Amino acid sequence: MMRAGHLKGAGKKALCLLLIVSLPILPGCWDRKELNEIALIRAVGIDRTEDGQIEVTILQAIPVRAGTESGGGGGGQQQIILSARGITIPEAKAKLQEKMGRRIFTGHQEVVVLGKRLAKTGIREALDFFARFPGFRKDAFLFVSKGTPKEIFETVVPGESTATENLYKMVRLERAVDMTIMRVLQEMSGDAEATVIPMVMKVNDTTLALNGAAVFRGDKMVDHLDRKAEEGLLWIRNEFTSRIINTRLPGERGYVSLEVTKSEAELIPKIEEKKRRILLKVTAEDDVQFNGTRLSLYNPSNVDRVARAMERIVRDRLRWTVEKMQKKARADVLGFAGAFHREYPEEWDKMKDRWNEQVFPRLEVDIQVRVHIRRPGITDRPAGLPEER
Amino acid sequence: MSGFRGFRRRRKRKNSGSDPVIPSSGEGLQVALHPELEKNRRVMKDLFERCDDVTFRPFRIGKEIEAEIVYIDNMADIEELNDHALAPLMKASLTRPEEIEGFFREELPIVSAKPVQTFEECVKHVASGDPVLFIDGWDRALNLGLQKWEKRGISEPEGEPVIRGSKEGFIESALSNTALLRRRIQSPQLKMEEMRLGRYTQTRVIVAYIEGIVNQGVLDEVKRRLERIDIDGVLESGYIEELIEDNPYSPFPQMNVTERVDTVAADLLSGRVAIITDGSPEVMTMPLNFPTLLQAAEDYYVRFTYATAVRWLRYLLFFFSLTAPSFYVATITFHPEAVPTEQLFNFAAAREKIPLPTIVEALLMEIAFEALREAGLRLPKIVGPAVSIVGALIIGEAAVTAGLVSAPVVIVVAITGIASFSIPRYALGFSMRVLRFPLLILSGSFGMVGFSLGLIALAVHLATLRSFGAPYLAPLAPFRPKELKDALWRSPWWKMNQRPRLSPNEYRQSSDQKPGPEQGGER
Repeated sequence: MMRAGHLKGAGKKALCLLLIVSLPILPGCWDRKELNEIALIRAVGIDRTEDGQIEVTILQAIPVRAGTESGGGGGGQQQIILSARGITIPEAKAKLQEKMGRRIFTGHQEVVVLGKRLAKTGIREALDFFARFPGFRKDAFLFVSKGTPKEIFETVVPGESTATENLYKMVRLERAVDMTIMRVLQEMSGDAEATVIPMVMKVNDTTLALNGAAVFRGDKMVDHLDRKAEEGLLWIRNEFTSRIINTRLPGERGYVSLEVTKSEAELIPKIEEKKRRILLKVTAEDDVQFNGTRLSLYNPSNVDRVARAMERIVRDRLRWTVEKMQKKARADVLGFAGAFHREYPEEWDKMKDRWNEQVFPRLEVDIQVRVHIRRPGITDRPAGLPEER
Repeated sequence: MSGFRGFRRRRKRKNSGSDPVIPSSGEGLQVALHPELEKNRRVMKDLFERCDDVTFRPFRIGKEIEAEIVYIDNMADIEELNDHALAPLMKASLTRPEEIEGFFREELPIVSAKPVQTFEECVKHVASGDPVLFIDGWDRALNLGLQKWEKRGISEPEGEPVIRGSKEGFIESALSNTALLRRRIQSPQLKMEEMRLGRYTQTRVIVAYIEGIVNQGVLDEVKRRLERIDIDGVLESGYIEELIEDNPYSPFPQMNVTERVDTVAADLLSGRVAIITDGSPEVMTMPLNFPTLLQAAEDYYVRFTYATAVRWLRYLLFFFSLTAPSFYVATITFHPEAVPTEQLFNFAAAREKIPLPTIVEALLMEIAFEALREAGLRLPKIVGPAVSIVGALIIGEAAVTAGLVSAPVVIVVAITGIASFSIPRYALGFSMRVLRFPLLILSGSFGMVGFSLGLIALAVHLATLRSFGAPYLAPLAPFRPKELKDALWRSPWWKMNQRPRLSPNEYRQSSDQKPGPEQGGER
């Protein structure tokens, strides 16, 4: 006691320094997670069991050092699939944790697969968990699986370290609607309260395939769009990227294949005497990829014919998609609600409560398509034919 | 307890009391010389008692007048002494001491000879190597100024080599160094003010500056701080550096220390002050600002485009050398979600069988690296390669194979090492080496938060730091856009018309020197 009181000058300074230095060490790095103490989760699957419980499946990837026995060459990964059930997702997760020696780490999960049964009974719970838990990556891609998520995870795709890595790469190639958790959360709480999530199915033990999209109204899956309808959806939602479309010209034999390189959709809502209409304007730029007809595409009038034929095809396809959404799903995942909200904010307030059920299905949709063929290719006439026309 | 305290008090009193008698430096000996040679000799003999290297050589001038030369072996130029002092004096036909002064003026062929009047001066000159001549019947002595000792030749500064540019470096002799500087700046405006520091060492310290360009405030401050120094010895410029710094606890150097003559000349020309210390080949210039530490002498000799690119690279590497290990540790242990997935799996695979926490791994490797560097520096040159072989084996391969550390840590430490070697000023390299460890511990304890806090603290420190009153981060903070031309990039010479704001003399050249077919035009 006395001694402490008598500390002066250098002694006091030394004590202060000691206290300061021990400051970073004493708390014991509570937040530290060493890489060999965490379980790196690459994918999470959530499904509802027959008895109404929640089943959480995780796909844990085990990093394997390159060159060691099981690595098989260049530092691959082994995967472990584990499932647990519970009444809520956190409970199931806690049960999963009991089976593991490493802490579950979801900072790198890039894919979340929801089971179809869960999708049909409502995904609100799952979304709440995703939104609330900070350790859950919000830019993970969401999928709905045709079977159980476990089935998807167990598919071993050659060349990829895990099944889900393949999935992740598939949507990243933008062949389908790519929905991250963040986007789903936004759309579900947006004007239309509807969203789409791509569906995935197991083809065989080594192949997975994207299988259209699940349409959600509120938190429940109400419809399944096939690939063709999904394509129309992509056009309208402005997410369309390069795709091949075959066209036939009236009075000609053979197909012309066009690659859509650029497309832009515009929504122009209109309210005239209580009648609500919307004009859907699509402008696309195409390249010719294949010409099976005998027409020279260096002739502007021929190019024009191809473009007009293309426009017809696209228009029909869009019409078909819109009608399907309006009549069958009754879920506005096309962004019409947002367009009306922006253009007519006051009227929107009056109709927003009955949008999906009443207003959207009765909306009159006009479709205008304009196609420009930009690059007919580097050969003028159909290859292999003598110059005639 | 009380006894101990009493002891301390006593000691303190002793220290704070007036200075003890300092016989050897000659202070307190401002006594005029005696006309009688015998008395003078006795005082000198007393002062240099038991100094067997001091030689007393009695002789007679013109066979009449008693005289004595006092000098130190190997510090005086014996040949000169014999041929031009002893010989003519012995042969001179002098009879009366009064004639001596005339003789010196007219017949003694020694340019540096100078009469002195007090014992203090005599002692000083003898101790510094000048032979002093005492003559009977004359109340003065003659400092012959013929000091000469072995000096190292002027060689390339090993610490700061360049490919293009002068290969001249300073040496340990202050007078040679001033000559080197004088050869660069041949103007009477280049001033060299000499003072002696160190009670015993009496080290020659020379303050050099260019009148009209130098910042007078800085010059006065430098002189004031130098005059305040009271120490028994100054063996290297480092003594002075630590005694005149603005912030003695800062890890950053506050004056530029260089062996290069051209660097000092350039600093003088931009309004700085240089301190040359006898016995040290390092010349200090001040004030220093931080960007200077990342500029190499060669930057000003090679083409400006290349110099700019290299400078940017150096800035980047400087940042790496400070932060690379801490950044790695912080992200890997606290924020693994921030690492690209595939990369993380590779890191994880490498770390899988390592028992140590990442922070310990990194510290271990950093310490091993520092040890290697230190060992490589201290060992004789012949053993040097052996160290690097052992080091490469330990750090590179064996540690990883043995599962002691993971490969990524080795890479990070290696990058850090290479980056720190790219810092042109060794002093800043020291700072980085020292600061890396606290930052590493902060990052290992608090993750990115600790890392950022460390960097912020560092930034605050740098922003408040001053070197002889000049802001350390200038021209970045305070922001001086006109001076960025020599900080963020290196402008071509024909554009660098103005000196740094430090100097009251604004323009260093005329403004229309852009070369080209029409000669000039652009400013």
